[in-house]
Amino acid sequence: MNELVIVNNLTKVYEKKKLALDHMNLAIPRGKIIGLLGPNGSGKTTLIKLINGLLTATEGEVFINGKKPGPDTKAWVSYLPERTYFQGNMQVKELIAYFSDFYSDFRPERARQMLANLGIDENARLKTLSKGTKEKVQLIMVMSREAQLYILDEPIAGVDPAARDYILKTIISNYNENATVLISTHLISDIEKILDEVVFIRNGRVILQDTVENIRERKGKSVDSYFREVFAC
Amino acid sequence: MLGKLLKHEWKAVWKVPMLLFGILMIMAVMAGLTFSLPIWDSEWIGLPLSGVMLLMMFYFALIGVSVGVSIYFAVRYYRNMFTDEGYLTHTLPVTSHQLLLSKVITMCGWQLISGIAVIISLILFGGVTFLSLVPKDSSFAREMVDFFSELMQALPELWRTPELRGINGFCASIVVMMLTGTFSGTMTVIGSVTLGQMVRGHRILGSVGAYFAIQTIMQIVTTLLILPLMMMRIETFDYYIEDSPFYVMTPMYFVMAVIALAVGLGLYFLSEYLIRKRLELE
Repeated sequence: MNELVIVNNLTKVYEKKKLALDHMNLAIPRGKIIGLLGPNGSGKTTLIKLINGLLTATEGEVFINGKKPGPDTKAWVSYLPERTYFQGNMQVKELIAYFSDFYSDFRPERARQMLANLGIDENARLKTLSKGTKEKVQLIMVMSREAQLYILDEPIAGVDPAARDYILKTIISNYNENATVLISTHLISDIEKILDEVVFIRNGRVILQDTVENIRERKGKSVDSYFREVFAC
Repeated sequence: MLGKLLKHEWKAVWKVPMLLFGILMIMAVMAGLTFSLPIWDSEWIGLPLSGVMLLMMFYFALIGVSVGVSIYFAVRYYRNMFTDEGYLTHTLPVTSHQLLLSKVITMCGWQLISGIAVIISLILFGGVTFLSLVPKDSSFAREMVDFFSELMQALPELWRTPELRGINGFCASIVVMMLTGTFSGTMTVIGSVTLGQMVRGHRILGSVGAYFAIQTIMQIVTTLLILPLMMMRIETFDYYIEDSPFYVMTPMYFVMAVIALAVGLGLYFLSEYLIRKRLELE
């Protein structure tokens, strides 16, 4: 089975009858870097939350390695949400201990190396760090795992261009080649160079899933240009 | 994994309750020391009034510690499970039972510790007050020590008197009721916060509403179950024979303990189900 994630007929309706995912079907292969692309409100974050078991589906199912989201799948998935989830009074070194305790695939030495590269003090309390530094610490924690699936929700939104380069470099140099990286973003031009495949989502449905190479060859344009064409207002 | 969750939970929470207990102990000593100050006979009303204020502050600190610990854990549970922090909490490779148990055990533990802290502060207050009131050169202190040692010696005899028949069962019922009460109190807080999450858009208001609803239902059920039992026991109670008051009180407390346990367990399984099947992080 080459598919790591299978999404079957997945539907999510929020309160007030807001349809976020509309009978979505999707298969995510192993060993690829995949861009999950779509305009605001297209259902990217909802899909990601459902894969991580943070929401309850209205209808349909998600399977990761053949299992529904639960303790087993959470041991395989390394998730970077679009928000900071730390307890502010924790020190960076306590966070490393926390991840080491719960995730058997967490590599503390790798995390320490990346923190040292960025000059982040392990003794610093998280509440004393700037928003950008907190995001970097969070990314370092997520990428210091040898997970089977990395899910990064808007990893480069809200950070400066230099930090974006560092984040992309971190992603490429730290992920296991048999693992899949699913990146959700609007900033396509920045990440296009690292993507193998893209999934376009609109109104809670997959409207395209193809390799970056195919899009460039068949459409004769970059993914960013093609995205602008498909999602033109 | 439960052990790891408990380790990190205790590590994260110990500072705030300990700070509250520290303040309580200082208040106990200060309130007790007011009796050694020459303020009570002062003609200026401000001095005795300030002493009364200190005593009142100790009284409010006693209440504040119990309430404060409950509120602190309720807020922590809410933040840790249902706000941004939940994004980490719910992506840990642990079961919902392990997650919930770690919160329940920690909160119950701290509730019991806060009860012990309240008792210690009262003893401390009593001790300091006693030392403050007793003149240094009198033999009163010696007499009190003698009185208490005689009382301790006489206690086993006293324990066997007909008036105190059934006191062992009564003491056991008190301990059981305290333990089950701590569990049901903890689960009322956790259950209310979890139930409140079902009121999308008004989650905090929902939690407060759920808390009062659970409390009201529990009071009604307890009264409905306890009253007939109490009436039945009082009717068969014979004042003129050697029956002790524990004849009425012990079964009543055991029934209350059973109700508290049932409510606690019910709320535990309901909360676990909602976390496992109805989680909706914003």
